[in-house]
Amino acid sequence: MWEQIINGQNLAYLGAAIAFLVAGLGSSKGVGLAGQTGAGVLTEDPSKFGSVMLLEALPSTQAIYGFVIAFLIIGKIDGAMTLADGMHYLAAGLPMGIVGFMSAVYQGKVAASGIQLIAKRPEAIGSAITLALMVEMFAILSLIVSILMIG
Amino acid sequence: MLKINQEEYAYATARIRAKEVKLLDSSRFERMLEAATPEEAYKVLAEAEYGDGGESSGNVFAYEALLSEEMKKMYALLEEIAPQIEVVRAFQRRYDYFNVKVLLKAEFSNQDPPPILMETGTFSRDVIQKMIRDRDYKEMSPIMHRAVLELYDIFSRIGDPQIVDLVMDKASYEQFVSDLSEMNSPFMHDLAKLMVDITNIKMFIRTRLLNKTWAFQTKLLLEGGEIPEKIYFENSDKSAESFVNDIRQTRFGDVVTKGWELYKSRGNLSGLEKLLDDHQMEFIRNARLITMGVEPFIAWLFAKEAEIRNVRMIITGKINGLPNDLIRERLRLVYV
Repeated sequence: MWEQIINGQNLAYLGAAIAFLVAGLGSSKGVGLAGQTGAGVLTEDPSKFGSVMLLEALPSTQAIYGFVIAFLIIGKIDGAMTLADGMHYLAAGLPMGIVGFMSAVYQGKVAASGIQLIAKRPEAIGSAITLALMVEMFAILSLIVSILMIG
Repeated sequence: MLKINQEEYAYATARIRAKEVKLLDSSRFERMLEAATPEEAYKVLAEAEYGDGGESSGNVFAYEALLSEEMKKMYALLEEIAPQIEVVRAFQRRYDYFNVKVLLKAEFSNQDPPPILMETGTFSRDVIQKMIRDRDYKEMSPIMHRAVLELYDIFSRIGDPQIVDLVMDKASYEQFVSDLSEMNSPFMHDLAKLMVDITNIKMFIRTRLLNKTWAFQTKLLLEGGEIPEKIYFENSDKSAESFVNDIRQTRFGDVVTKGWELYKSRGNLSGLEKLLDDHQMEFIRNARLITMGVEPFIAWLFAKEAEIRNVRMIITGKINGLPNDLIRERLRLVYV
């Protein structure tokens, strides 16, 4: 029975699931946190909607990257995959999933702080975005690593 | 134990951050001070959107009404945005104790309660009045209940309404410390300790200068501070200066030393009290660096209270024609 469950194909699916699921969870949390903060600022000052939305959207990229990796892995799956091949794709899903999760959560925090920053100093929108983009770099690196591993 | 989840405060913190821009900063206080007339100083408050747009915003002599409106507005906002209402309640209960104090004093001296009951407590004025009148204590917290019963007992024996202040003020702090230590937040625990120490230091120096006995002082001394009770006890028959020397090693060392110098040169304790209040504000100011959580939420309450206190000092000073420098040296440190 276990041979039917643990086979190359399913391991690769697991890799795809991890890449999207974990990164997607991170993005949900990050965007959620930034969104609550944004709602607070907009209650007091609705004119800041543009900048708030921009900052709130930043942590959603990790889910998109996770989606890309899941898509690539699913594209490689065929019924005749060996266990080793499946393991390979499972490993390829990990960087995107895990680094994506962490970077999305922390980017959400930076974005929330950035939203508070522009509540006080609207002209600082550039700095707020730059600070949040620094966290984006790690998500991009993990995306590249995952892509390289998929080959 | 009340579990505080810092991230639940994301919305509340953001609302407050946006509000912080409107807090009066030192330049606006300076403008109020430099104003030629009280009316002109009062105009700064209108710009800062004080009050609820009622009549009091136009008439400088109605400033107390305006300030109490502002205070009510602040608590209403905190109640609205608080993820956990208990956090706000802990601070509002102080006004319940104040109201009970006023009502009991009036009752003990057979007078009608004066119109100074606060509306910022957890019970409305009518409710608390009814509770005291009908001796109905079901809704009261155990600490308040105990204090009220104790007061009826003491008053029946010694018949001095002044005892109300002693018992209720102490109970109010006990309630505050107990509420804050119920919260799962190191900031709140530190805040409770700090406020207890500051209140104790002010009280101890004042009562030592009046040569009050230890029996009297223990009635006022609050528990739960960082300064051990031993230090107070050991100094209970010594001069206030010996107490000041004994607490030099604590975190209050610098403040108290400086404040004591001011007392020696000016002959009153207002300088020391201001420095201690500023020390508390320095602690509250740490919340400026916290992105989200209960800290900035509560800091706004302190910011607003300190601001309203300063406004009151400036407006009364202006109405009474006090020199600007005298008002300025009494102004408390503000949050922004």
